[in-house]
Amino acid sequence: MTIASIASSIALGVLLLGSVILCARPLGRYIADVMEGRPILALRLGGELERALYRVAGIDPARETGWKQYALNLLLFSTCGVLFVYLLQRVQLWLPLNPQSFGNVTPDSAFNTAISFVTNTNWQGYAGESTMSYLTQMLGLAVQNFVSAATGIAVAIALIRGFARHASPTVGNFWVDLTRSTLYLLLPAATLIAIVLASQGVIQNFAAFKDVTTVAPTTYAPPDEPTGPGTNTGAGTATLSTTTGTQTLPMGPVASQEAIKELGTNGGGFFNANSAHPFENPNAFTNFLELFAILLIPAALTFTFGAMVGDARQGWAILVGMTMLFTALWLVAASSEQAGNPLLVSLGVDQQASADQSGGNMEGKETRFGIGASALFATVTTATSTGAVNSMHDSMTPLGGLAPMFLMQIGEVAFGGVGSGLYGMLIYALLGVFIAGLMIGRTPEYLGKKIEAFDMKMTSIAILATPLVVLIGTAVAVSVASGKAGVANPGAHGYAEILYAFSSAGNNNGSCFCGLSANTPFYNTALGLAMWFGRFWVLIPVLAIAGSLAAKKRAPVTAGTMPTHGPLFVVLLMGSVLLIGALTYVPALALGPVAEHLMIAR
Amino acid sequence: MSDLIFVSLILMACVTTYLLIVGLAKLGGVE
Repeated sequence: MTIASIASSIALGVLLLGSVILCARPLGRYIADVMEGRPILALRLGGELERALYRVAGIDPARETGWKQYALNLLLFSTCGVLFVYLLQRVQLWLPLNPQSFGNVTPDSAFNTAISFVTNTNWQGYAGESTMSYLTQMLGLAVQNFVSAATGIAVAIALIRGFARHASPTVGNFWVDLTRSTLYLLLPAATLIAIVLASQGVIQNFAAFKDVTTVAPTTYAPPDEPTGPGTNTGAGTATLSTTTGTQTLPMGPVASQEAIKELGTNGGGFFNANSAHPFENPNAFTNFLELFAILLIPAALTFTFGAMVGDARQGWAILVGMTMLFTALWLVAASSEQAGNPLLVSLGVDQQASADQSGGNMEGKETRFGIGASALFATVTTATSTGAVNSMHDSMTPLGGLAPMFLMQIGEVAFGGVGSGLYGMLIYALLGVFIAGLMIGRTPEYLGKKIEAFDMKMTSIAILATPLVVLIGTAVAVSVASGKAGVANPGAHGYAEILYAFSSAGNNNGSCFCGLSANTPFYNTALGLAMWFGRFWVLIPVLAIAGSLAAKKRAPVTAGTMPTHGPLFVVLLMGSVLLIGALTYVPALALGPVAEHLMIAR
Repeated sequence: MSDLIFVSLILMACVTTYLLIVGLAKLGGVE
């Protein structure tokens, strides 16, 4: 049965990747048409609305800008977004659509959340169902789910234009790119997914929370009891303090937020339990749909890349590299979770898969999803910049948890966030051809563009900015009392909780080892800054590269030109990603999940 | 008071990023 269980896990992953790649190809071409403004049906249908939006905002859609102005527009837009979401949270008590009369969010939490959603991270130090009004969820958080994803797409498209154009002083118009990706891609796709999710039981309403009578009385310890859920008396019994026959069910406009949460690789759950909550993710079909939605646009953008540079093989090479990296780390996570916890074997716990159970390490997982769908979700959400979870990553085995953490640390490039995955992988492609150029003694080229000193300086900044944020942030947090205070499990695992938090924030993922109590002024501030610099200090040099490449002429292909669409390039690409990731993070990982694994495997 | 601190932090992060854009533009000579 163990083999059958592993086979079903693999079948689920293969079905998912197959479905994604199948649909990504036409979608990628559609995105290319939309972003290039070709006269396709969608643009003809929405053209009037699009032009009206430009008129209202005073935008001239025909006026393209260089990379600097493009970046300044993006920065202005994002700063306004952060200030607006901050303000909205600070005054939500006095605004409508707040049936539970939630108070204003504390300043440090509002700061963290505002940056979190604007940077596409969606790290949540708060619990949605006990903190945010419906208005804040919709007008603040869900809107940013759309526009932060659209911002990522805009930057990726600007970089593609850098490769595709010759001697061009411009990389596009940020406002047009933002509008088109929202209007013609994210809005219609999210609407469709939201309707399907609602049909499966994801709730969508503005009702106040409901008190329902439970089937049987429940006895529990109130959350403010220091001993947690039950006090062990030492005699094998637990003293529990409160019995109730009712339960409060949170309500809200969930389906509309859930759809863009996955599609835009955002990940911020309406509820604290995220996609483990049955109102967000009721069944196996919605689980599959959510996984599909997460991967769809990042995969499609590789085909957009191929279409816009005029060589589909270039997109395929990137996609194959992404898929192989994803598959390798998914298999590590799935096999580690299926193997279970060796410490439990000595206690006589049955961890073998059988007709009655998933087997393996089921702590922190939903029985309706089991090992396969949970490990796959953990991999998908961290391979992209999503951060949604359907199981608790803190409860994964050390190696099972290492895989998602490493996927974030390599920059979430397999398949990566919406837009950010592609531009992250293209940065590694530049590094790869540079290393190859050094080895063979030629000026490195990619897609006919000579990669020169300025491009490599920008590549270095883009690659090094995030590790600096992650490693310095972790070092500070483990050194100060307010950082150590949030740790639930002292030792290697506690350190891993902190490293995971900064890896997640710095790479704009948003998932957590949630044993860490991060809703404190220290973590809200430190992680907020990590999210900001992890986003913009990567994105800005990428735009600088776009401007530099667009201004260059395309060199003709000669016998000495290294092909960038074959297996050699794919290996080079993956080697660059793994080499940088390993050199940067292996020492840090050795102190956390690796040490923990060796401790329990003794 | 706390609001002042956190809004200032947001603006500081924004200004730092603005300086990065200007600095990189000068470094490359391509705007």
